[in-house]
Amino acid sequence: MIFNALDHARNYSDYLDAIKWLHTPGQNAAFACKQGDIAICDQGEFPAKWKRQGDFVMPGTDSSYAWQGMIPQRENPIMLNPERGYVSSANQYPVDPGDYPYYLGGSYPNYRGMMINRYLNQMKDISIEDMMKLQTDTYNLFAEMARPVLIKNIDSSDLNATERKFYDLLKDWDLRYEAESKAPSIFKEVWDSLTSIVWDDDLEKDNMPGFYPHESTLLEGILRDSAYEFLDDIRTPEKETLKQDVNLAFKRAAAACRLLESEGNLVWGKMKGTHIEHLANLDPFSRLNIMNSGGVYAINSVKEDHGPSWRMIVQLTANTEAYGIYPGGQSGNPGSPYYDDFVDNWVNGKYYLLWMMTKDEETDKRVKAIIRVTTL
Amino acid sequence: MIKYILSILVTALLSFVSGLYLPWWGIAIAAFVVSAAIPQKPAYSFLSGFLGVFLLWEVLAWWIDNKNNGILTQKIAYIFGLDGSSLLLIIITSLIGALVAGFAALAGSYGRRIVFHAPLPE
Repeated sequence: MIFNALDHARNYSDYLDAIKWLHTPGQNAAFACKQGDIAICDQGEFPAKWKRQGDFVMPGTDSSYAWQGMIPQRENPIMLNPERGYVSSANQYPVDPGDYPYYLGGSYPNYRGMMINRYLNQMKDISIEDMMKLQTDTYNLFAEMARPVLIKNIDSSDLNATERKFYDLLKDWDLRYEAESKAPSIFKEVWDSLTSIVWDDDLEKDNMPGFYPHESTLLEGILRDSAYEFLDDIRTPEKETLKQDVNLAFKRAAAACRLLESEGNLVWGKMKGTHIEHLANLDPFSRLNIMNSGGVYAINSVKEDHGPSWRMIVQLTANTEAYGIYPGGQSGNPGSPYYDDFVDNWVNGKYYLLWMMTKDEETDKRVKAIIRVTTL
Repeated sequence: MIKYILSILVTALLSFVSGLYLPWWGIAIAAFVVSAAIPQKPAYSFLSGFLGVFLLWEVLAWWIDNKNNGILTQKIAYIFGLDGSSLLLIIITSLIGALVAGFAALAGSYGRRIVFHAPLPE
């Protein structure tokens, strides 16, 4: 229903009429048309919750804890022709929680969205090639914020030769998740050790399953320096400081990195080990050990087993020009050469020209068959 | 000896034709019919059914695999734990077909004896 309506939409009001059919799941529905209007809507049917409702277990027998109603469609967050000249989304929090009357909840790391906006604010006369570069960008904004705290607190006079080498790599890192670079792996190891050093003692106390708080929570905490109470290891009488925690994390990470390096797995592409699995997890039908750049907080947020698969760029000039790619192929048959032939181009940030077919191209020799649909 | 070679060739031919119209088990019918029509000792019947389909499937599978550049056989051979060996996969494929046809031929040979109360040929 919604896609049929979107296919026939000619302007902003048609778009609004179309997306109202989209109830679940919620989607960021971006819009652009040749008349020049742009919009984005956090579209879906969302429950109207009070602050933090549903984030924790609540008494199910008490109906006053149930959802009290739904957010009316017309009050879903929507943005039309903003002054800044663009709309964007990378699954960040869609509203300013101070302004929006409803609580949306959920987990929304903001780093990719902030990075996209940072680039778009600087970019002028954007070409298709610029957008391709933007979509495959590997800059890690999270590391930009976290690294200074780490570097400041690591006692560089107290390092052995190997540790020193890893420290220098981390310090001189260009903050990009490049497949051949070792620094992103070192950063991840240090951050993960720090996470475990800071939280494990507190989680252990309550015998809770190992759900760590958001990474952004720890980042905000260490930015407050030693005033952050969770830095203390509650199992020791001593009161640990940020400096102690970071140095311990670095030493542990360096040991792990040395092991990875001896196995040849310290370069980011190998450590991350991106793999595209067949649905039945049959390895020979999958693509394993893909050496690609990108990472969780980069715009190109390729993870171990998921990430930005479908990339598309559409230029709404008189003749629509569109490019796209996904890490798969046109055939579902694992015996076909077209089963996974897009993967390498996807890894390398290449795109295919999408054929926006026009009526007079019906006789084009690429057309293999024509199905005519008539209404009765 | 002539009957033996003839049986192998006719089994292969009939099996190929059956494959055009029937699922894979058409080879069993082909081998059964051939050994019922051409009397041989049961052991020779078995062998001619076995070899007829083994050779046919070997050639067919190799031909299909060659046209596919070995993409599929290699993947399947990994799944079967054959370390990606297309050749081994094709041999195993043919062996399975050959066993089916061999036993069908054996059944044809004994079946002929029962129906016609005929003694085994010397």
